[in-house]
Amino acid sequence: MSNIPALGEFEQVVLLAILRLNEDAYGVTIRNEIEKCTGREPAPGALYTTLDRLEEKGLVRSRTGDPTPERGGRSKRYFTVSASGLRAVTHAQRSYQRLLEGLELPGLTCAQS
Amino acid sequence: MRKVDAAEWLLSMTTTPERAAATAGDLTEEAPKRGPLWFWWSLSRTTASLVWRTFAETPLLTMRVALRAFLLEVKMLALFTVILNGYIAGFSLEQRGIVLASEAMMMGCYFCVGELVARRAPGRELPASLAFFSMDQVLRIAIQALLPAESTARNPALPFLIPVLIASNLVALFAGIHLTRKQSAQARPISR
Repeated sequence: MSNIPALGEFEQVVLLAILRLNEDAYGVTIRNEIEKCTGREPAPGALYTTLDRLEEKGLVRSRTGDPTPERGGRSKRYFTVSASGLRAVTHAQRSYQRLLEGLELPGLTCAQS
Repeated sequence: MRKVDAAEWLLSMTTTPERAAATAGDLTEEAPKRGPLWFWWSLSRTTASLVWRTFAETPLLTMRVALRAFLLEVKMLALFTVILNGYIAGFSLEQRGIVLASEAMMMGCYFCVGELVARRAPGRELPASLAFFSMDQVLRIAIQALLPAESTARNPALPFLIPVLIASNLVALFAGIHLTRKQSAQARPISR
């Protein structure tokens, strides 16, 4: 349990967005997914530095796709969550759930894990 | 130069070539929906974030390169001073020829600094250049403070010239970086 890396709030948001997008997670779709789900528009700089940091920690993996003309001939960098990334985000979300247990927040029903 | 090329060029001075290309591609893909202003604003913010990250994660490495660049500049400035004193002593600062000659030397110096930064800090050229530039400005302020007041006060055009001189020095610096990176890429072709 102790070797599970601690995640910041935005790191969790990014990991969850990548998980939701499955095979189609790259810069643009991750930004749009975060915006759609949280209502916050993440700054591009914050997103790319977070993705780089997550990759350096081994929590996500990236692969290069094919270049496309609407991107000026540049390739997409697709992301997938690694096994340790999945463990880390699950651990972080469990912690949140434990904190929520017994609390009654307006409009929120806490799902039991 | 297309805007995607400009974006990739700028970003590649703060991260790896693959990441720079993908990020430039992402911004280009979103630009038609969000507008050109958004593109350049996002590019600036992304570059600033990456520069800050480099400083935060590798401060010693970045400062070491900047310090090397600064020492190179000091050596070259010392050499220029000897040349100027030896061959054209007696000329005063307001003479255009002297300003042009010293500026040409400074541009040569900045070009060499650009080459050094590109060789020593590939993928981190922008943070290292910014650190060098800050040291350079401190040196200039120190020189100005040490010079007798009349040597700078005599030339009324000097305050207007300073932004032009700084801009031309920066152009020379980035030309040095660009050409060195081009040479490195030719020597070691990268498949994309």
